[in-house]
Formats: sequence, structure tokens, C-alpha cells
Amino acid sequence: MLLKELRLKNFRQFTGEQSVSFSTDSDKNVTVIMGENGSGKTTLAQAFTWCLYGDTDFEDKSVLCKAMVQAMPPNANETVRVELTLVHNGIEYTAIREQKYTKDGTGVLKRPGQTVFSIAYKAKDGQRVFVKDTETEFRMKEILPRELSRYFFFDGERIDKMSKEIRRGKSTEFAQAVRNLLGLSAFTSTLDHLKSKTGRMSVIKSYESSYDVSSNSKIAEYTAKINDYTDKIAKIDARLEEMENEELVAKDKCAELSKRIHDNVDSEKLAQERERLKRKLQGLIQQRASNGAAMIRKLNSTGPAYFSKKLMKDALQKLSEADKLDKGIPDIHARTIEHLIKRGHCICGAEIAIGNDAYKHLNEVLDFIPPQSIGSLIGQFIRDCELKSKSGESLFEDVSNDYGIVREFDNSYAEVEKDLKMVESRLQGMERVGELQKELQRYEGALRRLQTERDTLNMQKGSYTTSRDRCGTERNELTLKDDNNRKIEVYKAYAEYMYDTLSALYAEQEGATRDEQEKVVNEIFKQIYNGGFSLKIDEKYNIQVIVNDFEGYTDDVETSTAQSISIIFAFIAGVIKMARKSKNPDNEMLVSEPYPLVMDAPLSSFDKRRIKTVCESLPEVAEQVIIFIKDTDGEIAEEYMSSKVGARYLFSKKNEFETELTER
Amino acid sequence: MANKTITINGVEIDAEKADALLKRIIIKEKTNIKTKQYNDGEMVKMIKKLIEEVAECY
Repeated sequence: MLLKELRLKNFRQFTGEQSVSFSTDSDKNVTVIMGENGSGKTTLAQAFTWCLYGDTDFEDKSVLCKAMVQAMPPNANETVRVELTLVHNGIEYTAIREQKYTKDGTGVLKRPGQTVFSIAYKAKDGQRVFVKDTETEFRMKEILPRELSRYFFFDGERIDKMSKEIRRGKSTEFAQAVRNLLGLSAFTSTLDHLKSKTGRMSVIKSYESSYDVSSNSKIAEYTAKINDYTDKIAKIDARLEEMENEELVAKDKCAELSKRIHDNVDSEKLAQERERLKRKLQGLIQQRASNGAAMIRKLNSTGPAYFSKKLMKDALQKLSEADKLDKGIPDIHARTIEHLIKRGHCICGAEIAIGNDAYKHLNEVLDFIPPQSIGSLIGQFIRDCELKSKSGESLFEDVSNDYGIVREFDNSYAEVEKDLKMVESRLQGMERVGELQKELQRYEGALRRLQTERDTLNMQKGSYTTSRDRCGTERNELTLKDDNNRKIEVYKAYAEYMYDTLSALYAEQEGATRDEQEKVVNEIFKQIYNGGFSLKIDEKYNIQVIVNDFEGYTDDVETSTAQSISIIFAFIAGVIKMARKSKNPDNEMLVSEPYPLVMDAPLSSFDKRRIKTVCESLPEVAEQVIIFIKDTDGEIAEEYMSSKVGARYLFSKKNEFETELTER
Repeated sequence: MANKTITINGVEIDAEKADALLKRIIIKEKTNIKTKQYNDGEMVKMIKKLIEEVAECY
């Protein structure tokens, strides 16, 4: 697949119709598209994936140009279209994706409809023919499977995700896609046509269903049983493969959770400490409140007496000097006098009559006896003063103590609060180990269940295989007795022989191709990165990074961003180089196809020396290189690749919503 | 590739002819990948026809 032209209509900041023609010249195979930050480099790179697969990495999934949205009147329609013209297997294809946008009567943009995807190709007579709608997805998968596309449409700014993907958990589709790129697709189609694993009609299946059953009814019975066992085995195989991915995910999750638990092991202790401090703080608050209240209660009850001590002392002093005032008769009440006056004679027998001396004398006495007795009041006052003085005696000491405790609480409170803040700041950013532990247990449980399921399925598979083989042998004995069926057995034997031979050849070729690919990838990696690492590729095309200088150290190592990019470059450049290599006439059975490398901001993580090596090596390994690059990196890239650059474009940013593509 | 007669499931076949046939089929598959001339069903039919031609001659 080589890219010829990209045509855009109203795609994000590319207003109106704009196009880029990529260099397909084998000597000058590089197209450089340069622009300042925010001018649309990533958007243009994303236009490829939107066109081919209908998706972008942008959060805003609306791809209609914002300037166009503003200019659209109510009830108006506008279409976004991206067309990518490419050559694959010698046929010129145009992939077209369109999406219609409409504004409602109030001028609000409605939710857009589904995108419409079509593929047209140029027939031998030059006419443009559209691939049937039902076949577009299949055709696209064949031109460039989505699993592989992100490696060809390479985004330097999202390198972390890609780096993980390239090293772990490849799907069967990915491995298959790589094998096909390496030229093995003719092998896989032949194998599939001879004996399909997916239950599709194949040569062997077709022969098995054409036995002449009239000679012996048992033949049909065995055939039905064999088909049933085959279906069951295929289902088990599919589930086993699915489980492999589930296991990989669970294992990754367990490793990640274990690491997180290890990193956060202190958090549990800290969380307990935080709870303890919180409780202590709450206790202190309550204690302070109760002590404060007690102090106030004491002040309220005995404070007045305490603070009036001096006044009472002075008053008592004065009263002691005023003995003369006390003319009262002890224990005689005004009611006694009133009684005597009323009865008319005194205790002593003297007559009491209004106005006589006794009457006057008794009335004078009334001023000095209760309830009006000053002397009695003074006596009472003195007694009260004595009592109050006593009650206020301990006030100073009591309040001092209470206040001391309150002050101490304040200090302890501040201290506990400080500790609590410290614990909380340490806990910030830490995860709760308990929760992580629960999650880990869940995944470990899932892994155990998967293992049990795998064992059960393998046992079932073994039993079905034995039964199927037995039915096959028994059917074979019957079919060989009959001439018609014997003929079918002969044809089938040819098909079986070819299938087995090709399976062995494929495994051999695939292994050799993978070894060769590992060699090529390492050569390219060394050329680009030149560090103390080498790469290993397993049967699923996962890449493992090995440290060369430490013999015996076989674990995968974590890599820096520059190393990760180098690995991805090396891997994909290796695949591209191998795909070209299978063009060799010696490899007449292998399918060959050149592939482009479309890279967005590929050099941003490299130093100058590596930019030079990358710029020099990529045009050599890939048949076509398309680079979207910021102006500063672009100048360096052009300097190193000047002899290879066949087309140059510039992003001219008109405003935040509009960019124009101009040829330089 | 081998030049011998071998027995599969109780029937004899010419391995040399089978190997040559396999190569022919792979090249036909390779061509079809490029041209898309035949669909899967047609390819299965074509392979069967080729096998039967070779087996009849044996």
C-alpha cells in the first residue's frame, strides 16, 4: 500500500476542499508537511484514521470545521469528507468517508449522522468501480488491518500507549496481520481453503459431505458425529484463545495491583494513624468544651462572692463599728409587739393604751425588731458574708486549674492537628491498600477460575478428539470398501497431505521469517538507538527488550520514551523492510507489498544524534515516508533527508479555526 | 520435495505430484490475493478440481 493523495473537505480546521499529494517517487520517497504548534499536523494525521476506520483520538468527535459551523445558517446542511487514494497490490483504490451535519431551525448544530464509508477502485479499463457495501470492511482489513494501522500511522505524542501495546498482549489478529505483511498470506489462505478452522466450507469438509451414503448408512452417522465433534473442538479452541487474552489481562492487572500495593503499603498504617488522631482530636474538643463549661459554671456561681470579698470586708469593718445601731430585742418579732398592743397590757402587766408611754415605747421598739430590724439584717448579712467568703475561697485555685487544663488542651489540639495534617498530606496521592487488596484477590480468583476452566476444556477437547478420530477410522474402513467413496478418500488424502505439508512448511517459514525479522529489527534498532539493548520477538510478535551487558538477565526491562520510540520504529520498519524483501523472485510463494510510514511528531523525543540516524535510516527501509513535523524539528529533518524529500507542504494557520495547506 | 508414494488413511498418493500441486495452488492463491478474481467458495472448487485432475492421472 502506497499513499497517493489525501483530499479533505471541511475536516476540522481544513476549511473547504484541500489536498496533499504524497511523493511516490522511489528515490525521493519522503513527504514533509511542516507547521507550527496547533496548526493542524495531528489533525491531518488523524484524517487518515478517520477516513479508513471512522474514528479519531480527539475528545471532540465532531469533525466539521468550526468556522463552517459558525457560518452555517439555520436548517443548513454541510458535509465533511476525506478521500484517501492509495495503491495496493497494483490496484488504485480511493477510500472515501463522509459525514453529514445539519443545523436545526434555531441554528443549533444537530448530532451528526453515522459516517458513510465506501471504497472505489480503478478497473483495468480505467473505470471507477465501487466495492460492494458488504465487502468494504473486508477489503479494508486486507489493505491495512486496523490492528496494524496505528503502527503505520505513527503518533509520536502517544508513544506510551503504543510502547505497552507493542510489548504485551498482542491479539491473534495482530500476529496474523504481521504474518500477512511478511508475505505469508498465500500460505494462510491455502491452509484455510484446504481445511478451515472456522467452520467455513473447505476442500476437506466438502469431500466429507459428499460421501455416497447409500452403500452404508453408518457413513452418514459417522460423518454427522465427526462434524459435531469438530464444531465442539472449534468452540473449545475459540474459548481457549479468548481465555488466553483474559489471562493476560488478569495477569497484567495482578502485577499492576501488586506493585500499587507495594508502593502504598504504608498507607494502611497511615490511615489507622489518621483515624487515631481524628479520635484524639474529637476527644480533645469534647474535653475542652466540658472543662470550659465547668470553669464558667464555677465563675458564675462563686465569682461574684470572690470578686466582692474586698467590698464585704470593708462593709463588715464598718458594721463592727456601728454596734449602737443594734437596738433590737433578741427573738422578739413585730407581731409580738402588735399582739401586746392589741391585748392592752404588757408582759410586765403595764397597761398599753394608745398614746400612753408604754404604747409609744413599744412603737419605737418596732423599728428595731424583725421584720424591720436593722440589727437582725446586719447579723444576717454578716453570716451571709462569712458563707460567701468561704465558698469563694477556692475559686482562684479552681479556675486556675481549669484554665490551665483548657490551655493545655489548646496546645495538645494544635499538636494533634499538626500530626493529622502531616499524615493526611502523606496519604494524599496514596491509594487504599485494602481496596487494592480486594481488587487483587478478585483478579487472582479470576486467574484460578480460568485455570480450572482451561483444564476442563483441555480434557473435553482430548475426549472429543479421540472420539472424532475413532469415528474417522471407522468411517474410513467403510468408505474404502466402496469404489465411489474410495475415490473421495483419495482426493481427501491429497488434500490432507497438502494441508499437513503446508502446515509444517508454514511453521518453518513463519519461524524463519520471524527470526529474520528479529535480525532486521535489531539491525534497525541498533542503527537508531545504538544502546546496550537488543530485542526479541515471540510467536505473537510481542517484543521483549534484553540488556546485552548482563548475561543471564532475561527479564524484560522498562525503557525510556526515546527507547520506546526506537523500538516501535525498529519493529515497524523491520516489518516494512521484510515485506519489501519478500518481493525477491526466490520468494515466489510469498506475497509482497510495500507500505508507507506516516508519522506525526516522530522526532520530538529524540536528541540531535538520533534524529540524524532516524532521518537517514527510515527512507531506506520504508518505500514511502510521510512526516508531519513542527518547524524546528522539520528544518533538522529536511537537512538530513534533503536528497530524499520529494514533496514539501506547509500548514498556514489563518486563525484558531482555519488552516490552509500550501505546497512549498 | 519428496519423490515417493505415501499412504494416508489407507490410500496411496503420489507425494511428488501432491507437492507440485501444492506449489501450484499457493501461486494461484497468491495471484488471487492480488486480483480478487475468485471468492472463497470458488477457490475451494478450483482446488478440488485440481486435486481431482492430479488424482485421476495417478
